[in-house]
Amino acid sequence: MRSKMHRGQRLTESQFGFLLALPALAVFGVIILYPLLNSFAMGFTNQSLLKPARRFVGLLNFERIFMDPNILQVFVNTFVFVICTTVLSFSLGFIWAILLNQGIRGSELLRGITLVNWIIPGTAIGFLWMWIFNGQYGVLNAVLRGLGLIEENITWLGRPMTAMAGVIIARAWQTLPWYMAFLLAGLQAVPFEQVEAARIDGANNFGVFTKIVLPNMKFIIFLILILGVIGNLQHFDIIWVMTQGGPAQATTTLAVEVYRRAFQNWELGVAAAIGVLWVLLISIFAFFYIRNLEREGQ
Amino acid sequence: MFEVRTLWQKALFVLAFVCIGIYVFFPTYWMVNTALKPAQEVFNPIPTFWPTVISLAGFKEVFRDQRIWVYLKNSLTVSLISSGLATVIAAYAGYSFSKFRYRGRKAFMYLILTAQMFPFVVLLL
Repeated sequence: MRSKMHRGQRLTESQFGFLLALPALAVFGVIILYPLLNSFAMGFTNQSLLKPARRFVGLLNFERIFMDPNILQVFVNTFVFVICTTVLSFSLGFIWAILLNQGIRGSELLRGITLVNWIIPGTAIGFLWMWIFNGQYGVLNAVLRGLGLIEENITWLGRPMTAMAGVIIARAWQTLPWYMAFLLAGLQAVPFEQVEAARIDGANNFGVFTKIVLPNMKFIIFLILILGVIGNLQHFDIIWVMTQGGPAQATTTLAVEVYRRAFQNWELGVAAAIGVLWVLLISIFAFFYIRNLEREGQ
Repeated sequence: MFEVRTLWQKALFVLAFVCIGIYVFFPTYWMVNTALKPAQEVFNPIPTFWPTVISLAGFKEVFRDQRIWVYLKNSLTVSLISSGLATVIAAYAGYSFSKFRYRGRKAFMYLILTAQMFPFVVLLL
């Protein structure tokens, strides 16, 4: 191809290509890269909104974080929240996708309605589930009492274990349609001839699933699990609306802890230091995501 | 794709269908149901699964407060402008990454791909 002319100045083909990507790179630099580097730098200072000047303090913030006896619980909470939401949502989404892929009447309609969960704003989902789990007027208590499973109402979000279970159930509910959509597309791409051949060879449902369906969907499963984990590692709004990290830190994940430190205690330096650790944690998963994309692309 | 023939398979199919179906659809139904109840019925310790009286008082209340229009306008402004801008910028970048070969292309591509992976609370600090 001929090189492009631009204001009388010759641009080579690759320069022109780079020019097209420039706006995206500029936006990335201004709204992602600069704030991120700024936060990283802040992690090594004692910046606080209550004091005017900031001073370089080296690794003091990190020292303080690791001396804090509560931080271990925050990491454990994050771990529990991320693993449970991802596993619960993925497995129910997978089963739901398989059921809706069986071709019963009305499947298309149900697929459509399922996606409603995904488009409801996180804050609304938080309030909705809060209302369901409500200790006095909640429908969950009413149903369990009606079935005779509990004697008295339980304030679900007021106890550490059930509060964690509550936010996990709400978050899994929000993300289920997302997994379903991807897995449904994956299921439909499984070659029908292979399933048929396996049937002729006498495979049962379990055999078809493990020998034909899973191998064919390996890539998509890996991809959505990693994206799911990254999304859950970042998740903030449902937890914040439902429990604000409580009762007594029981549902405080890294996202909630950074927000609390920064915008309630005004300790920007410490918050940024936790943020650095958090981003490093996410980077591990991002690395696997990109490596997998790379491998599939070749 | 999977066979549902025997009684056992049918029972399992229906059970899974009903259980996940309730989990997926009931909360949304409950939201709509609660929205249509009059206030005193909402705060009934024994909830009603079907509104005995359909009341639009909640919706009237929302629209009587003029600020709802401001909120709607703000939401639309933010979402339309940001998605419009993002589409235009991303279209150019996508074309550039797919059509041209230059040094740093791959690095830039992955850099932008990671944009959504950074927790936004950290970016706000």
